[in-house]
Amino acid sequence: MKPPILVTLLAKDLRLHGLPLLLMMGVVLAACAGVMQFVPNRRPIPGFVFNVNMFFSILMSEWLITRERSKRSFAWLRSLPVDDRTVAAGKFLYAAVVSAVLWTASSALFAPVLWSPWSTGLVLQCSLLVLGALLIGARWRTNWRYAHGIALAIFAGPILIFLALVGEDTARRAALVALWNAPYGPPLAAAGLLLIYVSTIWWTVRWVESANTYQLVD
Amino acid sequence: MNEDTVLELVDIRRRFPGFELGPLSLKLRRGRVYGLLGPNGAGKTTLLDLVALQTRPTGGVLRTDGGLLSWGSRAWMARLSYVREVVAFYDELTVADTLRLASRLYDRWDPTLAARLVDTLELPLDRRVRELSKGTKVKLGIASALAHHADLLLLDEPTAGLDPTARAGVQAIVRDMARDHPRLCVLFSSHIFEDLEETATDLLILRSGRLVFEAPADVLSTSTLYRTETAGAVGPSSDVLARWKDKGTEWLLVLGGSALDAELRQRADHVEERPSSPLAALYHGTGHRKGDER
Repeated sequence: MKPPILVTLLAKDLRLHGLPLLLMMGVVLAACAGVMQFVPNRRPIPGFVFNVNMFFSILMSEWLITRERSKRSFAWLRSLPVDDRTVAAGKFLYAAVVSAVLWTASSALFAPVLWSPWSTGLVLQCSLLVLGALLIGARWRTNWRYAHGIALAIFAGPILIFLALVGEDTARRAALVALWNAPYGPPLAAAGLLLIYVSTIWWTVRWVESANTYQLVD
Repeated sequence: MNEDTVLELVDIRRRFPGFELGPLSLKLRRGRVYGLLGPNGAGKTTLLDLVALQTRPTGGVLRTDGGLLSWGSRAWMARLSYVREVVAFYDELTVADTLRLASRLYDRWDPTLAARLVDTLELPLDRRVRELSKGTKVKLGIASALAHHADLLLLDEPTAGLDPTARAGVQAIVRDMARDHPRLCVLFSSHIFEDLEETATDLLILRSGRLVFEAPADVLSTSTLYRTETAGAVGPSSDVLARWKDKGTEWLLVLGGSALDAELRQRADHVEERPSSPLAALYHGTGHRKGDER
């Protein structure tokens, strides 16, 4: 992987998607500000901020791949002396940076409570990274009809199962809260999420490297 | 491997459900323009994809002067350019941006040559790719191919959907490019006989995944086409370039000036034909049936 080529690909994506993403980020921040007007005493809105970041992450990650697949520009990239690893790294890095910028800005402005303790904000950021990476991986590998379903199933499935298991069991719930409140709780959760993130990237890169070009375009 | 050979395909195969290309062996040489002709589904794009490492072969090997080609070889990608039938640059970028992007990705990019090509091909630098006609997109592909001193240029039906004037323009570009870049090898796939008659130095005909004809293009101008109702009157001969049957008539493409050519001219049972397009006659005749011979 050559860093100058990675920078070139990132600059290309910034050129292609920069303005629409900037507008979308503006809309997200404006929506957060607007919703806050309706909250009594203008209290922070952590739930809304996280959810809107989640939707942004889904849309952006899918768009990064869908545009290249549907317009077949992956086929052109593939015929250039650029290795697949660099192309994939560019997509994941771009999504991660944009997601981090929006999450930091929106949560700091409209839900600072999420950064106190700071580890909560970090864990939520990691979960957004995982969701974005799952979307990129799934969309690269399948058509848009399945990509959302696969990514959301992998992302939300374990959480829903877990909630179902502890829902009626106060002891389990107490143990979970204790685990979260332990000094190692949030770092452990962040590390677990980062492991899923790295695994998703690894799995996607391996697949893209072995795929025929016709599998990479719609 | 001969130093004039850019790429050698050895028993290359690619299997899809219901279709197999090959096994196919072929040498692509420098300074040649290979015209690849075949009906839809014959495997032309698959062949180009195999050469460009876009599709994995299910058998056989690709060999260059550097040895066997491995999947995803960046070194090989740096030596070739591939202009697909659906030219897929980034619509949002201008021509100048596209060339700038390509220049950063190719180590051997020659900015002086690129500027000259922009002039020669009359590329509108400030226009966005989405505003370009297909002909201009093909020109852009060719400019980016030549500016990085590609050894092999793959053109997949670049004239499909173009009007006659634009088509003639692309033909002229390919002709000029082959003349001005004597080390370049071009593999040009097309449905249009005129494209290949105007540009090709060598002809390849693919049918149902099989290479049914391979010969220098000047064979057509120096050969004679005969038809006869007496099937099998001429036995196997190296002077017979192609032979096919159609509705009880046997057709023979015979090397001009050969002993067999002289003999057939004298024979009353063989009639010399002068088709308006010898390539079309050859194309329509070859490779349809098991009994056809090369």
